[in-house]
Amino acid sequence: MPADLDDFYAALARQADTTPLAGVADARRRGQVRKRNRALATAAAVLLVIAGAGVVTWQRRHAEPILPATDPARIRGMEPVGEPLRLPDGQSWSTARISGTTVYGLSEAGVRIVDANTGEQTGTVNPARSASGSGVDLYAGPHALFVHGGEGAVFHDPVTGARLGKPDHTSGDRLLLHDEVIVERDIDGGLTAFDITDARQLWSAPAGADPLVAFGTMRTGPGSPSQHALPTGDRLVVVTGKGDVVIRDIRTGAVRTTVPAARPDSMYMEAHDGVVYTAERVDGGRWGIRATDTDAGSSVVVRKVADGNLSYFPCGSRRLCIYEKRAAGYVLVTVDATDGRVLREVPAPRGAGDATERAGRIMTSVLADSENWIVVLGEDGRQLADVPGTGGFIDDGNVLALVRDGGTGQLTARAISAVDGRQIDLGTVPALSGDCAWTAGHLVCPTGTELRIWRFVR
Amino acid sequence: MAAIDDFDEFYRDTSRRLTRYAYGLTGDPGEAQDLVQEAYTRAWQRWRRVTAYEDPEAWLRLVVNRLSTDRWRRVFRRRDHAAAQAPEPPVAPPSEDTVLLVRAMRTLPAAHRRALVLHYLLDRSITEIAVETGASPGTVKSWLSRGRAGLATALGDTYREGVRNAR
Repeated sequence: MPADLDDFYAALARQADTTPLAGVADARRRGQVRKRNRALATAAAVLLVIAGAGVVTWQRRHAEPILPATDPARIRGMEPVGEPLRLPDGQSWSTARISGTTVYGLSEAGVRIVDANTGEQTGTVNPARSASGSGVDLYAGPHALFVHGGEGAVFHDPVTGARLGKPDHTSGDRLLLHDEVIVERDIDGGLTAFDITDARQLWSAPAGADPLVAFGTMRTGPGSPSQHALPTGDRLVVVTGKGDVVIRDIRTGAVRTTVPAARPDSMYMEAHDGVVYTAERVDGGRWGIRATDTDAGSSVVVRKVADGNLSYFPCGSRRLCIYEKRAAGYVLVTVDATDGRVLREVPAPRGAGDATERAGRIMTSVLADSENWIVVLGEDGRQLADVPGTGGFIDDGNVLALVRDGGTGQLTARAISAVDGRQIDLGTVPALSGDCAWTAGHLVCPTGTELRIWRFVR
Repeated sequence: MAAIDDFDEFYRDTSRRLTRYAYGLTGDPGEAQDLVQEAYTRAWQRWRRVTAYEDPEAWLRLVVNRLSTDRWRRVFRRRDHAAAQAPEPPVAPPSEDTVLLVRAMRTLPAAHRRALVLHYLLDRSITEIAVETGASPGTVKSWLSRGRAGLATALGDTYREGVRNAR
């Protein structure tokens, strides 16, 4: 029966009123514990300052650098690039992207393209919005800017914003973006690929008798610094309904390898350095993590985990890392993807999260006790940092953490060395109106009416 | 002891409204529980400062809003792994209307969702929402209008235009 919004919200309010709360005493207890911890931290900081003064004095005498050099070089600061891009009052930046040295900002007024080195505007795009007035998204690569809005997927010149083309497709169920190719999966499981620079159709593969259940790219290098960066590489991975793992050339569609190994109920595909990882149900309701080596043509379940413990990620060439919950807490287990041999187990006190590996170092973003945390592990698995905030790798040796002040909403940008764990506060970022994006050279953040760009200093 | 009494009274007076707000933003009772408890924990941590604010309840909503924004982002990132998440704590099952509204709200940008929740669940006027969000009244009107349009699209045949006028 049709209802108006008052009815809908009244129902929601009634539902909310039935939500049990932990109570005021619990809130006071937790707040008190944090006050005490903060006091201890302040006392420790005073001691560190005193000790630090001694170190500085010693360093000056011996004319040594304040912090040791690392490879890649340590991020020691950040400086603003040009003036912030300002919008009229009432408008705000909702999205920031960066590719190479080109910055993209999206607001109600469209996309502005800016040179990250100079802060000068180089182009604009005015995407059509969806019927609901929302839903425009941007992905930027070296060859094209991909804008997905009310008109569907449209490619633009990455520097000037000039329209390059629009794929001629109408039945798209899911799009896979790549820095040179866009692959569309239709509702039957067929694939069609388009060139990202001119929207020309490159190849197609009808669904046939064995349609795909999962597809993605094969990552070959280190994890990308930004969650919005487009994948690279030349291999498209397809898992079919019958359980075959198929490798296609992403530019031509030609089948390179087929390994009839995975099970029909495969889920959660990840692919790295020739190995395709999938999860399948095994004995007793547990999950089995299967590693299919598409170079060797072999396939084996390398780890079985309890239901609810399915948190894994490739962490090196033929290395798989799994967060596992034990009686004493979480551990991060590293196994050999060829035979399942356990190579290392280290404690993971914050628990499981979204993890990325670069050069043997691991950065995990964890949500615990209503706070986001960044946990950094060094090459030897030792925990180097555990800070409240969001962020990710800047390069192989540096992690960016954006630490929020719950009261003001401002953030502190902090560089954490993934080599030795030392932390440097880079500067303050005003309250955000969307996600920040970064490369090894620059940070860009939407902060209400201003889009701000900084250059990392090493 | 006076501080404890004041805080407990503040909790009694405001916790239901804050729970409605958190539920409206997140659409999830478990999330709402966590966010509300976290907001009061932070309030007690800095209670003397919070009591000095002109509107301590608005400060609580600010904390909930920011924590929930982080969570929405995270939910979208981890959607593919939803099957691996632990089950939420047991609460009363939501009505069909609530399920439909929550699903529709999830299609909206955070600013539209926040404006709708303040307006429909907490009965805030456009002027009050403008003050709380730091936006102009015109922007708030636009958020509400576009939010309603988005909900109408998402709710489809189950929706008819509401009777409430924006104040």
